[in-house]
Amino acid sequence: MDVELFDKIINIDLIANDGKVSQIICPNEDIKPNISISGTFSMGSLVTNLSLKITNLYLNRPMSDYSKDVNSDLTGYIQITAGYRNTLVTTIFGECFNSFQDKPSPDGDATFEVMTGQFQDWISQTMNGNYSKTMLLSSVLKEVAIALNMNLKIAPSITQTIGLDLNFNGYAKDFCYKLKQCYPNLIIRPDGKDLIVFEDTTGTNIWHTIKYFSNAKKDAGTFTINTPWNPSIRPGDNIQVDPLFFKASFGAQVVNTDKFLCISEDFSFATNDDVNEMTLTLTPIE
Amino acid sequence: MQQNKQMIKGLSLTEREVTDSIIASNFIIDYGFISSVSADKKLVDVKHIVKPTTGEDEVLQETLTKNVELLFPCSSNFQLIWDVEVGDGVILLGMKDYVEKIADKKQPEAANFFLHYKQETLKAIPFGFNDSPKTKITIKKTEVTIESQNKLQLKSNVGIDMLAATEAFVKGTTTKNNFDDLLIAFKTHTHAYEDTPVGTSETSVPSNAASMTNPISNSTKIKGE
Repeated sequence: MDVELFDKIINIDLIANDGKVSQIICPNEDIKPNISISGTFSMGSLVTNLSLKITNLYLNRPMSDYSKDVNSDLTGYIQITAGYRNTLVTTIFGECFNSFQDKPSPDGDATFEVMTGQFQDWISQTMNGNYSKTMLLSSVLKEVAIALNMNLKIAPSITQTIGLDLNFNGYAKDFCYKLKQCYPNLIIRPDGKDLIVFEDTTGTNIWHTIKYFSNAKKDAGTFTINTPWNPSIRPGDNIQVDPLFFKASFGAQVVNTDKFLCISEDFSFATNDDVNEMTLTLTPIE
Repeated sequence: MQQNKQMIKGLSLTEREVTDSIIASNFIIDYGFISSVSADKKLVDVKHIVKPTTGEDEVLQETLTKNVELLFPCSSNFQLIWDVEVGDGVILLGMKDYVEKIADKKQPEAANFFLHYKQETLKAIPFGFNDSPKTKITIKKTEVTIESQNKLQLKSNVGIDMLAATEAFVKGTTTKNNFDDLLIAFKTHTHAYEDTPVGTSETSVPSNAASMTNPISNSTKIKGE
């Protein structure tokens, strides 16, 4: 991550359950709003839970309008654009399933609990299909993504045919689970409006280079590293680290590669505070 | 409010309800209609008889399972097999593991796909009731009848015994050949005799043998192949 780690921004689009959008923008100058996000991206076939906190937020309508209404299908969505201004930013899109004011005072935090991915679609969209065994796995996954109203982002290493005549009628998420049963190496991960698909042995083939560490340790076959947050890294991505750092820390025999696969990512990031950290769990590849 | 009720109900599931839910989510056994038959008559596409519903009671499209292997009562000594047609009812049996074609397998092998009781593991057995089948074997307490609108054939490499083998069932061709052989034997057989105590021996053909004909003709032979 060869970027300047200052001027951290978090821009928020709050999309109320009637479709009206409220924006909170970090301006180029003057005072930035005090916003922090934290969460865990995991590699499993599950939506990811993030927490968004905004200090001293005033909304001209009830906060509940921005989260899921349990008595109806009305849903609030949140789009978070976060990172380092003009260099490295990412967009996280998700459904807000809970929102509350944890300390009702001018310095209180408004908290939004977000499920990344289109959670309502994930749990409700159905599909029906019969696929011949000569069909490409990527073509079947494309139909899954269409059923879930998502864009398919599939690793280039997935080129095989499905190999058996597949039949399905039911929830699209259950079909994802079924595909995982058929192809145990396959990871299907909803992320925002994207359906990310890759193999757990090779990853997404999206490479990131990490040069700066605050800490690194080795547990059995996995490595855990702490670095400032790189907004573009997601589980499944391929990570290249400075081999000199790892060899100095663990010895050349322990680390015989500088190429890794990211399994999970914990991160905390804020506009004003010093909070800026991610913890990556990596496994060596090659 | 409906969702709330479902959520409240969801908090108090009985073991029976959980078991029902698991069974209902898997293709263990089902019933369906044949929607198409493959050219070799070994695979069928089956429409399931009940349309599935979601948790919100939304009725989904009909479930179609393609390329289901047909199974008949069969072993090395006996097989009962018949042609199935579109619309015939089949019982769908879900197998514990996925095997593409049981009929092709001769020995155990490792699993390629980890599917259990899914649509892909289903096998079809023609099973149901038809008021007017083309061929019907009825077994009653005192009689057995075989009725067919098609040509009825009996084939055996070693012969067919009927009436508990006290009266053998013989093919028409065999009977005709035997009669022909007998006729030739009559026509050509010789009798040795002594004319006088002295002199030479002679043979003669019986005069009435020349008028004998085969009572079994090709036009009236029994079609019992």
